[in-house]
Amino acid sequence: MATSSLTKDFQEEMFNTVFHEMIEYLQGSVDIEEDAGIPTATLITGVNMPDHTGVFRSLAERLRAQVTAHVAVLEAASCATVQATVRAMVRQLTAAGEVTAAGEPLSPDVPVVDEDDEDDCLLDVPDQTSRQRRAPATMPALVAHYEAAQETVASPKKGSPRKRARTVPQRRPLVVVWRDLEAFQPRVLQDLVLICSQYRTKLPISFVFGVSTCASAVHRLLPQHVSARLSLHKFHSQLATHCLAEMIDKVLLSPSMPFRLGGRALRLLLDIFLYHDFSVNNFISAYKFCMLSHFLWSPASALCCEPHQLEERVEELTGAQVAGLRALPSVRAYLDDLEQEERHTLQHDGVFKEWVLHMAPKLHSKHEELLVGLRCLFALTKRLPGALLGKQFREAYNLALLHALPERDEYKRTFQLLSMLSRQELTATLEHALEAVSGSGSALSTVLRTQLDRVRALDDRPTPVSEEESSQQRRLVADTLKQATSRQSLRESLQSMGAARNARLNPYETLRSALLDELDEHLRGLIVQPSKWPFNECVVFDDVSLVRRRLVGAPRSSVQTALADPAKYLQCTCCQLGDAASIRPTMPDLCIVYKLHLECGRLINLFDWMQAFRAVVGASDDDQTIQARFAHCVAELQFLGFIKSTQRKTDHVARLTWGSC
Amino acid sequence: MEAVLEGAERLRDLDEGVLSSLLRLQELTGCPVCLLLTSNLVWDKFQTPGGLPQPLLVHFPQYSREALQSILALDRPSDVDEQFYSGYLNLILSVFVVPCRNVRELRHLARASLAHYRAPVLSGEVAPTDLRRLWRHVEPHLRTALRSVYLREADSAQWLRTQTQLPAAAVQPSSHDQPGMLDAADHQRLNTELPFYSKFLLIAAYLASYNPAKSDRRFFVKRTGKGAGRLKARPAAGARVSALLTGPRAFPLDRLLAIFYVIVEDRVAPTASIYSQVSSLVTLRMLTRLGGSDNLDSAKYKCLVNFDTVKSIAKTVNFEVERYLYDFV
Repeated sequence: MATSSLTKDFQEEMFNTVFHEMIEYLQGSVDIEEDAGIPTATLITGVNMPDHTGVFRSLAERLRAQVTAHVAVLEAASCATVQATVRAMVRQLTAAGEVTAAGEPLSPDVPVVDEDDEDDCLLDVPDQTSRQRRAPATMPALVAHYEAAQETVASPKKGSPRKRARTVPQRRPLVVVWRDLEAFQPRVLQDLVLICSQYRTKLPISFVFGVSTCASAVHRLLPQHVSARLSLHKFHSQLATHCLAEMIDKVLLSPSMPFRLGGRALRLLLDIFLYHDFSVNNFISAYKFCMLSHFLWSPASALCCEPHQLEERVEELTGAQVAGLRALPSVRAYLDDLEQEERHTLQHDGVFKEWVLHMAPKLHSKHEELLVGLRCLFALTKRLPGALLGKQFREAYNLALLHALPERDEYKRTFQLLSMLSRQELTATLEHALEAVSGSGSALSTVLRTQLDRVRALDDRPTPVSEEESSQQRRLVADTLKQATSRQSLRESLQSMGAARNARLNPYETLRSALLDELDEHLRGLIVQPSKWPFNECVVFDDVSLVRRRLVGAPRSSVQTALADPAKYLQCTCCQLGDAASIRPTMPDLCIVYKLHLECGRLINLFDWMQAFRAVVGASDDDQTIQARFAHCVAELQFLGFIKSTQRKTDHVARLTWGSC
Repeated sequence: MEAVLEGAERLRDLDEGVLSSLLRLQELTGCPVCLLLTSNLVWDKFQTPGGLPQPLLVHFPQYSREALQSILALDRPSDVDEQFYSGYLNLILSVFVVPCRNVRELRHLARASLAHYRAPVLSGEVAPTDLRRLWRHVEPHLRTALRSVYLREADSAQWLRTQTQLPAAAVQPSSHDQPGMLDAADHQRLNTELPFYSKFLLIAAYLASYNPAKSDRRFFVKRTGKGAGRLKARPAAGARVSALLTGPRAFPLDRLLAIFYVIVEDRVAPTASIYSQVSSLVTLRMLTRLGGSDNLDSAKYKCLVNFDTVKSIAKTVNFEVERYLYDFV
């Protein structure tokens, strides 16, 4: 679908900006003199570790394409000792054109054997000579390989002798990428840096450090005499939250995407991102899973498609599907509002299909309008104190999906604050809002533009108060003072006079309130909660309970549910429980033993437990297998972590978990 | 034939026979080979119970200031006047010789700051002999360099670029006068952005490491009001050894999760993500796991983060760490 191409494009773009500078630096790293140290690009990637695989794979590809063919990517899991690290590094750097110990190229048919494999002698191969030994992976071997590679580059077979003499071959750097720097053993890292800095005269090695936390991690891992041999250069990749904001803009809110997430689903995905792992890849997977669930479980999703495919989809609707569409809550609510005759005509399937064809494309346009209105509102609130709609656009979007925004306190408060702005601030705010919606070409941008012009054209001079008015005022004040009998009545009359004076607004304030009323009206028309649109269930997915269990794993509660209520997972008819605490003899042994232990206190007597088990299972007293079955179940419960053996009393076990049925 | 071995103290970690065989290399091989060992440690540290043949010991003293100046003068680029460069070196040494006598570092610093020092001379504003004006021009630049002497955070090119991009910031002396204040670059150096629950897990780990287990009840159990808290007589605050001095203690995973569920205000379900965040913190070296990875039952952890970092993280989530620390009460 379009999703994968959109996400792929997005990821490529995301990496472009980060890697461009770094690749330039690495291309120039050959020219850095030896004394300055090993040129090291420190890429500060951020804590989102599930995303790092993709980042470093993309980086390695680009390095191979643009900088050099000699690229090695080292991971901490496979580099526990210096020997293993050197071996991995040299193997990867010499990957193109491997040779045997004798110096001939490896043939693909004969099995390869490593020089330093210790269990070599255990292999039972009849013909010893049919194996070829790979050249040992050491630094001198790497030097030899590199010099040989440089010679083939330096002496091209083609071209005239004069041309060959003129072209000076540029030495290609050898790039070693350390994927997760903090996970490496410090000793291994230090020794490798010292070794590589010794070889710097013969091999132009450069490093790329992938650091998750912050730049000082390098200094924490390396002592000063080692870090003095590096020439560090920092590169920051984009913050995960920025990546998420861009991704939401480009993928989730893209006009070419017919599928939309509902408020609750979006909130779940955002919570997983912000509270747990900051991983954009996991967010994308969760989004795809929601889409999958929508198309799998919701029959109305047949209409969730591109606008040009709608007609044939509507044609193909069966009677059952039409009935299903009629039963959708939003459609029922809409039909209830209609007149009796119209409702009657829509009973007929053909007319209903026509009506569906008429209403379905509006879903997309309504969503666009919602976005335009929301962007305008968000731009207006961004400059106000208090971050009423959140600091990021996605929070405002989520709020609009969950609630009817114009009824909320945040909306009213926004307009209250806007009505207190001065002229410059109002101009600036309107300019900001215009910039946010100018790309969409909707009616709102023209409205904003006219409003902005009116504010700018407003005359600056205050209207002169006419002479009569001021003299009238003076007489009024004098009369009031004479009439005042007590301090209380004087205060009241002065207050009422002041209020009357303030009620006469100056021209700017009248204009401001008129503008804000107009804006309010437009925004109310645009920002409509999606759950109010008819047929929104076709394109909006909001069934969070279906996906929550799959996206957020809860191991302990699933184990406890499986043990307490096995019919849920086994789907068998014999273990249906009427009451959660009841025990049936047809349940698996482990479940019976588990439920019996729930009834005990802190220390459980094994013999009593076994007798209870025997009673539930209903075996006779001389059945030998009961003890074996019981012991098996007790061992399994211990393995699962519910009980443990205790020294306190003989033949007792201690219970480890409490609560839950 | 000579063989030079740098960092000879690593030879002690190898098999015992290696060092003694190497010292007798000429004897064993019969070739005229001479072995040179360089090390930071004195020869007494190399002695083994079996005894080693005594090599010829040469002590290399630390460079004096004049020696440093003459060594650094060898680095002079060809287009710089000798007099000018020696004046510049004098300046560099007077600023940096107190914290740093390492020749490698001083060479790096001299190389990094030379362009900035020469800039007014090249543009013609200041005469090469006007040392006072040159000093005033380069002084703020050297001050920032002094703050990060051994760190080598950026190579010369990037560092120069950041210096020229913020000329105003470099010139303002006010922020540099207080040595305790950190500016924006330092903050970025120290802090990292963590997900919400990870921050609380880190704070819980810090509290578990630095509070004794018995004080958990006092801090984390909600008081219902009945039963006055009976505190045993504790030694006076001065006699108590601060946990901040003795370092972090190990704690089991259950204690970490119990404290975590208390300090997070909302109800958190014990999902797999919480456990994987604990592992991520171990990978990031903010926690460390003791006892090896085969012991799944009782996993013990230790918190490796210091107080300042935890305090700044707690501030971002509006949590007062001091209220829950045993040492501060």
